[in-house]
Amino acid sequence: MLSDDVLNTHLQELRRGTVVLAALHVLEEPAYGYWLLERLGGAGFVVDGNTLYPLLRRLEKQGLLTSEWNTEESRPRKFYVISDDGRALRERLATDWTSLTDSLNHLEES
Amino acid sequence: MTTLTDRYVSAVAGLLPADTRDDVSAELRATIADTVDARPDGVSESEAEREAIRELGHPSALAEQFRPGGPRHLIGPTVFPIWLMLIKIIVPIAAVAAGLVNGIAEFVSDGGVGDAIGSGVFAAWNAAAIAAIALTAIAAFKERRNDDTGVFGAPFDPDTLPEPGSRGVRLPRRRR
Repeated sequence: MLSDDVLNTHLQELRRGTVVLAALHVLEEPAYGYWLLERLGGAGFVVDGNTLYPLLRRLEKQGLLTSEWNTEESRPRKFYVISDDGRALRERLATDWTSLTDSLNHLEES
Repeated sequence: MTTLTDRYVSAVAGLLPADTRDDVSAELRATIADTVDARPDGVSESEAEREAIRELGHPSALAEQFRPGGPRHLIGPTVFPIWLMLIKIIVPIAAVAAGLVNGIAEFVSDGGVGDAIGSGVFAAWNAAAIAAIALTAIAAFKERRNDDTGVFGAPFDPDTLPEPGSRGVRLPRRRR
């Protein structure tokens, strides 16, 4: 009998990197933390705020995102957008994802 | 008047490196406010604020996530087994040695058995505590030095592997 703990641990491991890939897709347009959290959740990438917000900063520090404070609206918000390095990483990760899927299909067929 | 958000943001900010403090604070504040604005109908503002903050988690845990190098640790998985092995060997030796020496010294100097035992136990406890603290400090230092020298983490050389069984661990023989 598959226990929930074991299942959740493995699901979490499998999904860990996909949040980065999904965020790099969505951030082709500038977006702020909470909006991105909702957008990702709605698209099936459920992630906690206390994981996503620090992640955005790490991606920014790695030069994959750039950020800018938007103070035009009533509430100042930090908007993140993908950089050229971020696009390069996204293409590389997406290729890898596809090739992993292919490899897995080959394994299942053989 | 300070709000729950003020208290939370200031608790997180106080644990962050100075150069990121203001930026993280402002972003966190906006994020909590956005979360509160998106609350379902019928939930009060203060209830939503409390829930948003509860979900972000303990200030020290969140601040740790926000650290530029990622979460820190005292002793990582490479150094840990060596630290544990040294603790198991050195702490008992230090305790027994210090206990015996002090106990015997006390017994020889004024002859009371009770005093000798008391002095021995006290010295053993002190020596064990000092040994444990010193080993932990050395291990934590090695963890931070991030080099591959000395007792804690010499570079792995396959040729140095002991023969099976020489350390008391018997491996099943390979069947032919």
